[in-house]
Amino acid sequence: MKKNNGLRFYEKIISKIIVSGILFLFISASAIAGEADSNNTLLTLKLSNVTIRNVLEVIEKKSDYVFIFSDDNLSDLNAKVNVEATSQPVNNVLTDVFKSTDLSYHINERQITIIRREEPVQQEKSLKMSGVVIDEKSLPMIGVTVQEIGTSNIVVTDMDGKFSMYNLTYGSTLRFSFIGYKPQEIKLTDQTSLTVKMEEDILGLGEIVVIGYGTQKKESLIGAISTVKPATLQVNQSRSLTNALAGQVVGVIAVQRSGEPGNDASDFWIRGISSFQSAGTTPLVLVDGIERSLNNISPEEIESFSLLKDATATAVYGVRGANGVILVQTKRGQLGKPSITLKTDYGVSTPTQLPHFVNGAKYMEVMNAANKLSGNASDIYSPEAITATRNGTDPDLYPNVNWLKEVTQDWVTNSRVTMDINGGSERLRYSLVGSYFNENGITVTDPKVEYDASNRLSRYNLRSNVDLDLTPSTVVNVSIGGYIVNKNTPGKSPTDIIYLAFKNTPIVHPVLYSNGQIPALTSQTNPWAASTQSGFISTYNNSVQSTFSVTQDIGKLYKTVDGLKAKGIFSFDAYSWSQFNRTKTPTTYFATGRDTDGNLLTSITNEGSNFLGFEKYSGGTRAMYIETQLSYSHRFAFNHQVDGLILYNMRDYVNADATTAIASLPYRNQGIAARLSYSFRNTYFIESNFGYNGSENFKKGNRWGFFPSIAAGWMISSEPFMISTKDLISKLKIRGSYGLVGNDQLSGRRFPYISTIAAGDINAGDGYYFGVGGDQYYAGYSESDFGVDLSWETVKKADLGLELGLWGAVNIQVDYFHERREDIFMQRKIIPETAGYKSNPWANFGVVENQGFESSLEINKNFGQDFFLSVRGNFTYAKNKIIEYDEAESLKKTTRSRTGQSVNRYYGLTATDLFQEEDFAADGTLVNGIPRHSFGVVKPGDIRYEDTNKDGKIDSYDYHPIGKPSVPEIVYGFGFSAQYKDFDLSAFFQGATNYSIMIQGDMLIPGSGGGGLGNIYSNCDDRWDPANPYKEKVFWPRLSINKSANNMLYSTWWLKDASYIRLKNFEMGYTLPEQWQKKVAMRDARIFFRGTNLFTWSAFKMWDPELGSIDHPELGSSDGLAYPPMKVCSFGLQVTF
Amino acid sequence: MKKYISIILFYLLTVTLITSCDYLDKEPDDMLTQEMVFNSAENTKQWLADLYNLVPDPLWGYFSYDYGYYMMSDEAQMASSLGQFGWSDLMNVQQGSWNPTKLVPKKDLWAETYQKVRASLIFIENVKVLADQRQTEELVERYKNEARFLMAYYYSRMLEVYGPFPLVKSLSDATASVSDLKMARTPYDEIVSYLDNELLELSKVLPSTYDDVNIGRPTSGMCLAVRARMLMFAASPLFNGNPDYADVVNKDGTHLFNSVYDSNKWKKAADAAKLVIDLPEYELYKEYNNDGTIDALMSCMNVHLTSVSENKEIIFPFPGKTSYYYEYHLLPRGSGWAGCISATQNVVDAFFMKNGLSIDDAGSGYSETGYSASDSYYDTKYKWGDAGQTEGLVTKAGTFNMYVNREARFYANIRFSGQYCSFDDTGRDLNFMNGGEDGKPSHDSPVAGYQINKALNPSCRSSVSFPYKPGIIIRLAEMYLDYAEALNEYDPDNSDISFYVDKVRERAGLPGLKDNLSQSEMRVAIQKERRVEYAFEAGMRYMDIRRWKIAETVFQTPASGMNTTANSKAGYFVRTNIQTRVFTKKMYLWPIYQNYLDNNEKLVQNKYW
Repeated sequence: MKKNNGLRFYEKIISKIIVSGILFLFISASAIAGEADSNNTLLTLKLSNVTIRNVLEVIEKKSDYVFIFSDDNLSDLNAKVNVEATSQPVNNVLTDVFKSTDLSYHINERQITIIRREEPVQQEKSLKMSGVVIDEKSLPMIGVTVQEIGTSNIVVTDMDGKFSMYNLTYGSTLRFSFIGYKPQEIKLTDQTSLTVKMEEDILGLGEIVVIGYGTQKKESLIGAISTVKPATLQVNQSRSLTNALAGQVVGVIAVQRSGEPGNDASDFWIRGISSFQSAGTTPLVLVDGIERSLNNISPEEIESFSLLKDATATAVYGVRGANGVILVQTKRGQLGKPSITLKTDYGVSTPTQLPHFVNGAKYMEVMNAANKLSGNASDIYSPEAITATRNGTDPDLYPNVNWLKEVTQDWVTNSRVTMDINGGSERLRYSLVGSYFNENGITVTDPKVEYDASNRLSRYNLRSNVDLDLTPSTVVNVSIGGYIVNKNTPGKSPTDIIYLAFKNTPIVHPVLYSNGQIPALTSQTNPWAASTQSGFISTYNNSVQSTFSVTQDIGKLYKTVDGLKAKGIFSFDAYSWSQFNRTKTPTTYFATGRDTDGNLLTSITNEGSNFLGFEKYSGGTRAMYIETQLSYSHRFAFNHQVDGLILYNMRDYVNADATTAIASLPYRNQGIAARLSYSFRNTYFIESNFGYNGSENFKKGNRWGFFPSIAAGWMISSEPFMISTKDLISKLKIRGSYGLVGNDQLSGRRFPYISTIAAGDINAGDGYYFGVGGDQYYAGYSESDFGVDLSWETVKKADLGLELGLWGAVNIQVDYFHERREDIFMQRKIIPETAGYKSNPWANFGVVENQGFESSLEINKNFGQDFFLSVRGNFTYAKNKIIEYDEAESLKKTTRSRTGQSVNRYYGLTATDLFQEEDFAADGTLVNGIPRHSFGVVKPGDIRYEDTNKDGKIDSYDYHPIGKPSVPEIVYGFGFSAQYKDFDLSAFFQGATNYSIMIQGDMLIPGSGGGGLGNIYSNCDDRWDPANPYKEKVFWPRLSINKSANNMLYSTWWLKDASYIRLKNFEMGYTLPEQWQKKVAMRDARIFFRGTNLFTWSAFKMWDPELGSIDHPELGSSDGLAYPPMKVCSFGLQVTF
Repeated sequence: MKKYISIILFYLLTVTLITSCDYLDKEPDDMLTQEMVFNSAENTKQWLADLYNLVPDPLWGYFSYDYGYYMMSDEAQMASSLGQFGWSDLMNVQQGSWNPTKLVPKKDLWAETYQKVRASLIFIENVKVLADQRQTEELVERYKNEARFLMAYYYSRMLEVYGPFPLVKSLSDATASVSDLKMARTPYDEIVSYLDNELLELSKVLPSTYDDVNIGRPTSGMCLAVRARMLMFAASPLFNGNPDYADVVNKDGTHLFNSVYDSNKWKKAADAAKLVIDLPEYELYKEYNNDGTIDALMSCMNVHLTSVSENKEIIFPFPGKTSYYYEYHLLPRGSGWAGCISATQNVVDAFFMKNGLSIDDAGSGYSETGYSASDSYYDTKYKWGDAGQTEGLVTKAGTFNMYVNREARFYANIRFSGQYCSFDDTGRDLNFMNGGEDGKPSHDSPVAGYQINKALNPSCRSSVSFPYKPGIIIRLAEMYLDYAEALNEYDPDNSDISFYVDKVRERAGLPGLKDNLSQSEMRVAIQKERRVEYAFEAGMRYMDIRRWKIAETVFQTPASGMNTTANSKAGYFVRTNIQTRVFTKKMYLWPIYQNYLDNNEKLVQNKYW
């Protein structure tokens, strides 16, 4: 019995729960525990002349019942009664007790609420209501949820927008809700039928946005959070969702560096990069609240997509939040009859752009020219050989091969099928999404080969989300998702094959000798054979993701704590992969000539294998996650909205791909997060978030970090003085936030506080041999990493945002942000090599600032009944700057200093022009006055550099920052979608700018492959030519037969503006007339044409600019010789039953 | 139903609380620590073995871009197509394009030496007696001395190519500030005298031989030989009063090089070499014919193919298996190798005639026209002159006259077109002509038309057989020639000079030097002898032309060879220039890597860079 004041008692408990945070589950558990058989409890009482309160006390003692009553009823409870009962149910006893008072009771489970009788507890429900819901075009709306507020009396409108409800209480209110529309509430009066017109919520104020560990109404958001409609992501035809982000999601900087099936995911960053470390810059991705990858989610599985950018949005993630957070919510079941949506499309893909190379004869001519310009007298290729190559008289000995064409198909097919089943009743809602994705790679196969060496990838996704109302206040969610990916590639990776095709010369040998032998040089690989004769590799990736959560609405149990919910989540994910290499090396030959009979003379160059080998690799990851949270949301006195959250979570991640004992240990995180927000009149908002996290990566004492944030917002348009301008300024909000977040990811080092000893690896050439015949091998031990006590990287983030809605149709959002990342993990750079560290110690050292702004614009407008137009655009600009970097003081004063420059900046020389004959004295040296070019020999036609430091010498001291960074600073996107009657058309353009690439390579300049390797770009005639030395603006400097040390430097000559804009998505659709659809019980039936990457515009023409410059460290080059992104066109059909 | 919910929630909570207490106390257990290393005799040996790791593979290591010694001399030329396999920087060096921002050669000898020095100093500080594990005090002393030897040896190698460097003698404190760690370069003479003492001292405490399992560890002979080699450098024109370096100073004004020639340095060098020569453990490797005469050809071939236990000429062996890349790049394509490294005409011309004369000496009998009329036999057990394995047959009839009647070392070192190929079983001849099995157009062919034959076993078979051969870092013949050279510089009348040169010539089957050579004639004779005896070995040519300060002159002669683009004998056997090399003054010493200069303002760059 809760003496005197039950309510207060509970309030105290609640406040304690909130403060203590962790133990709340005991409370919620005990609040519902022990109700066993309560309805069957029989009471035997004999009491006379006692107060009703005494009776209740006795009943509480004898049973599990708990009484709840308010102070107002105290006087009645002090009335005296006599009670006599033998094995009576409690209601009989109570009815008897209360018959002489104004009190009544209401039994809810084991709670008994004492109330005044004039408040009827169970009014007779007799009202019946039917109606229709229409939209602004007066078209019926399907699937609108109609709920009698405060009850679980819910229905959904049918295909004609109609609904019927029974057992309604007189005077109650009906709430009509539908995603994307403003909810409507209608108080019931005498009417029995209703026509409700729903209004589209163009400003999205009522939209519920998924935020860190919860949801929030868009209206009250004061963190920098952007959301994306799943539909915009669903037009993505690429395997990885990451490829859909650039330009579509404001705040994302993304670049796709390869188009190879399975390896085509984009690198992406939220608001750019604020660290010079390679690790710890990628955002945290959470799918249904669990850390998961974005790569293999089917876009159809997604219900919402949020991007958390500033400190207030991410502080709850504490140490994991430094790089922003992406929250993906998968589809949940909606009330209503089962609806089945099928969507399928089928199309073709082709590379966006491939480099162009010269043919064999041209190649030989250019090589001869390069040879001459290198100071060699004789020609490499005789005129006869060139003629023979040009005429193709003997392709065995004078081949002329376009390797790229030989190893790639012009186009390949791809297809996608998805099925989405959704529905539910009040107690059970379900969503089931299944999808199939298939794409083929462009490498060729040989039909004569028995095995399948084609490059293809197929993926099957399945996700089921079930929400079950165990009790009116308890929801259990079980979500199970998974995918399998089957990939097949030739025995060499497609990226390698394409690369081989780029680097082989057109005259090295034919694809296949006329006698059927496979040609190759001893140390080289025949690209065609690599694609078709090297066996195959099958890869299988499997993933299971499961989440189980229970939400208990405590507020529903105890009205006094209305809005209090407890939730527990348990999740485990498992990912595994296995790879079977059935590879072989073909036996290859090289032709040296013909015998007197004209037969080809060949000699073996590589003894291949007769049959396919077998090798197996496998690995995977596993993650477990537990979270418990308590949240509170309540509106007091109408104007005061208070929200709170406190949670505890822990994660355990095991990487089965680990190759070292250290990496094999579980990765663990543990933490507490909390949020408290308050808003007044939906006009003034204030919110504070914090995360308190621990990571196993650091030494005890340095493991835990506290990351607080604070934010405030003011919805000016809700002020009374703005009412007059409501038609013009429909929304005006300013908001700002400041806080800390952290990062615990180090690149290349785990447990940095431990000094490690490295065991030698015989394959790495470690260790030493002793003894006669070198038979005593010792692998050796040596000092490896030096233990240093490190701690978090901390990022201080500030954000200032403005949201403006005009005329109810235009939505503008602008954010300015500033981030400062401190204590960046870096390996010390300036410890002199004489100290002898094999690997320099690490330190929390650097500081990087990153700032910029982002804005988005959205216009949605109906023109009459038939025409709807939506235009949207967004723009993200992020520029970073290294504030502190471990550099010697003397270096900091030079132009080569990284301090003060942006992270991905290029350093090089300024190329002014090319040297000409007159710059040289008779002995070949530069004439007086021209700075000495010290990098290599210079001749006419070589690049002349600027003497930046004016010391009369071009050397490494002249290096300075040049160009723009290698990752775009600006990424933007814009597009429109229009609908006219049943036709729709949309186009979306995406671009990136403030972006440079540095083209480099030992074989880049025509001829510099020395004739052995390296194709020549087809623009090779755009070069310095001694016959026309003063030609303006040539692309290539003097050709040379070997890499030119002077010309092949990082310089403005090779720095290219890689800005581009591309038609990223294009879609045209036709919705079948409604009357046709109805006949076959379909709706939303639509056929469409869809295209991705259809056109690209860029000043840079040599290859797809988004590839940037791919590093090939073994060649010391960075070029675009990689598997290009794909252009996809497909036709499809979508239908819902 | 609700019961279950509560059970589940309760369960979640329990799991959370139970596991959370020490949830983050995850750290690697049982990790090997430095303390554990030195508490175990076995682990101590492992640490010690790692200190040896910078001892170079003297065959492939010196050939490849790791050290690049041969490509930077006038002895060898690689195929231009090797550019994309990491050789392009080295190719640029051949043409004079070399700068401090790149590590060319790729082996970072500078930084890796310091890493080994640190590891050695840690070793010396921590190694201790572990009697129960049979690590006795005596053994610990030897271990420490091994580590000291390695530091001295590594430093001496750095000295050869970089000149003076900051001499680190003690372990830096882990807590030392960065500015305390910065050191200026130590003057050349100071380093030499430190290493001189160190090596001399070690030679007295290290054993003179080891049992079979420990061969490769430093002996007293190794200490003295390394010391002799270093003192030869110190006495040579590059470092002995070199006027070019007179003004090279540290930022505080300390001179890094001596500027006054000191002939006494030659005496020191001579004495040092003599000390090794007088050691009883070593003698020239010789094989004999049945009649008791020296089988010069087999001696010169097998000195490189015979392992330490039977080869007393080896002073400093590289005991491990040398890289098979040596065979792979040096043996002919037609037999299944890559064969893309070529000897130059320049070195071919240096070999003497069988009669001991240079090709341009009067009466040498050398001819560059025509083909031999008959087979040519030598007094040797050599049997790789033809498919019939005829003993003593060296060149067959029809051999280009340039290659006939040359000295034994010519055939031990050079393979030429038309010669019998012993590296496969087809009984064919080598053919380096355009279209030939071993020649162009494939780039896996020798551009100058010669392949290197040193330290290659005639029974190598592609992907089948790579017979063991020792890597030789220092052998006795070098000490003989060092001694003679040094003696000639300060005591030209000493009869030991020709005595020791002739010992080397005798083994090669050549008559002794002419009597009464003047000091400068003798100098030239010794230089010629070194070039031939040490062709493609120990990087000797690269070291010598720098040491003698003659590289600029040497490279005025372009690298040349036969005309490998021709496909007929007449077209092929024509001297053809391959490349005009560029060697500028700065290249006598390697540049200090720009990063190291940037990090340490006390460090000054080598002159002219």
